Amino acid sequence: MISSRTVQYLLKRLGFGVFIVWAVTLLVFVLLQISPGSPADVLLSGGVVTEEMRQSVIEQYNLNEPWYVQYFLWLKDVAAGDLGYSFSQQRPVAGLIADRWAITFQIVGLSMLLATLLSIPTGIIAGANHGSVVDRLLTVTAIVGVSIPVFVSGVLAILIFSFHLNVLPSGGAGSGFVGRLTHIFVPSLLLGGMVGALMFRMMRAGMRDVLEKDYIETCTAMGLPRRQIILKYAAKNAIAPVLTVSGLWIGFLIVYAMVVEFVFGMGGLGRLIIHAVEAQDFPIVLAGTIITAVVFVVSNIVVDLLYTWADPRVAVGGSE
Amino acid sequence: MSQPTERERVGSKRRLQESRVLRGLFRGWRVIRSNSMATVGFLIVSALVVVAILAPVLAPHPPDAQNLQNTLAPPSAEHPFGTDNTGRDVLSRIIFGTRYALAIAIVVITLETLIGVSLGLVAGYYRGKVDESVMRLLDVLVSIPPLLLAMVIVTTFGINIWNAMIAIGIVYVPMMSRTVRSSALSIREETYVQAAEGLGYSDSRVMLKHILPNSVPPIVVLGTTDVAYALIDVATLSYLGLGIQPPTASWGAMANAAQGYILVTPWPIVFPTLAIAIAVLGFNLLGMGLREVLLYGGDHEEVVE
Repeated sequence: MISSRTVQYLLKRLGFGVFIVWAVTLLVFVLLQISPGSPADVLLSGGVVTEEMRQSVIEQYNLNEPWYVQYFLWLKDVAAGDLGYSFSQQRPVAGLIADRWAITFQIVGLSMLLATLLSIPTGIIAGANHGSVVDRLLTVTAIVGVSIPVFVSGVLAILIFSFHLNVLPSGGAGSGFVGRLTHIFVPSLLLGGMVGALMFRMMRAGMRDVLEKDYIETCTAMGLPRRQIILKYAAKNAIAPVLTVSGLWIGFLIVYAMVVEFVFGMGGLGRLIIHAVEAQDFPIVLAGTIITAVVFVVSNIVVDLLYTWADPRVAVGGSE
Repeated sequence: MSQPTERERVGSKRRLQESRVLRGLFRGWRVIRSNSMATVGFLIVSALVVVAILAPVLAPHPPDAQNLQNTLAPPSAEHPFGTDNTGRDVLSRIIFGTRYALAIAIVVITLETLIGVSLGLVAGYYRGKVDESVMRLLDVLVSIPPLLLAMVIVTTFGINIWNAMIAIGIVYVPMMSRTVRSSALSIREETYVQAAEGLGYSDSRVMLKHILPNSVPPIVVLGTTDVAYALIDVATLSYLGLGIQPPTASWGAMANAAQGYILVTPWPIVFPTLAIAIAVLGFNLLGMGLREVLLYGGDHEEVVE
């Protein structure tokens, strides 16, 4: 049952989410204002500039107005779904992104799934057998896992599997469900492995903390089997902080999905944004930042929802 | 007994300070040695520092010496890690690359301590409106992933080594501020802080002399792990061509330059990327080990005094 208090709490979170997205747009806009060179130059630096283009960009971004008027008008466009025009690509930004976002977000989804499958069971085992050989082995593996940048493991995977063993495709995004899956599986596994290693660390620490709680002792005293205590009472409580943190990692995941997807030569958002940064194509970078912020905020609200459902005390006790 | 002269007093004061530094170092070493992960991490990081300082002595060849007669050579006795596309010795370039890795570490730690720690202290100590506004600002910064925020910064200010390092340094500030803030929030309730306030000490004195020293463990732990992440971010940025640019002998830039010859020979990309992984591993092990000892009490109780 959803109480009015829960609704109030979620509305508060939603309002905060809107504030975050708005503040991100302001921050990035202010960065554009303080950048060396006039905003028109920065916006146009992606290609050959004609006087006509200069006039059109000045008109489109209202560059003759004071900055707060510019910002307001630009915000109005963004809210209406108009993300601007890329001068280096000669196309509207919204179209460029619409063509490419799917592959990136498929990698994000698959790697999150793989990260969960890899980290939660191993985290439970390691946390429940603290100090054992298995625990040490898993912990060291996890540290090595977070220490290898995804572009490094990506390059090595391409070298080994595509060039030497010739068992995996080395580029492109594949077509059809199976084709796409074979193309995105290895990149997602590498990314999922890295995120999974972070989640494993949290899950392990969480299990360690929970298993020292009084109610676990009560369970033991009641004579419940250890397997049941670990799975039913400890793991369920240890998973909550992992859930919260995985919401905070979603932005990180999106950016690193762009990196792996760039390394594996798939035509997703990664290549678009990386080339845009290189060409100082500001409208694309701006749009990428806003989209990431929106996804970040939305996924954190979803996590909050799950959390309120898993642990009703959160909504009752307030936000802190 | 005669009064000690001014000179003697200054001298003994200095000796006292020296012994405090020594005692601090000794205590730090005991903390590190009590955990095997921290020890291995410390050894890797120390090795990096030694290699960076002795780079001109250790490197068998000058890092920028080209030899167009011997490009993309596989590992050999003359060039243990092979040569790159202009015949430069990969091992020598990796040895000089440690200097860039440590420069990144220094920039990140400096920005985190100067900006991150002071913001966190002020927010946690004053609470109320100051805290609220600082935290909201940090919430906004945290909602942009570090690497993307760094990309926005280099898009605005241009792609070069300084912008890349400063951008990565700035993006790690919010995490540090949050940690210091939450630590300051709980420490300011301690009786010794109230005593210091009751004695009428200035706010800055209370913050710097009473709260800060007690927030050192989380700062050290987070700072060390953040260096690991920052090394990954700068290397990734450089590999993508958005950070440190070739022909600079930084590991990320070397990987970027070698990318085009990957089908001819993998060595010029394999060795620099391994160097990145080892350096990151060193800081990660040190950070994880210190976390176990400083924040969880560790396996050896006597270390935490």
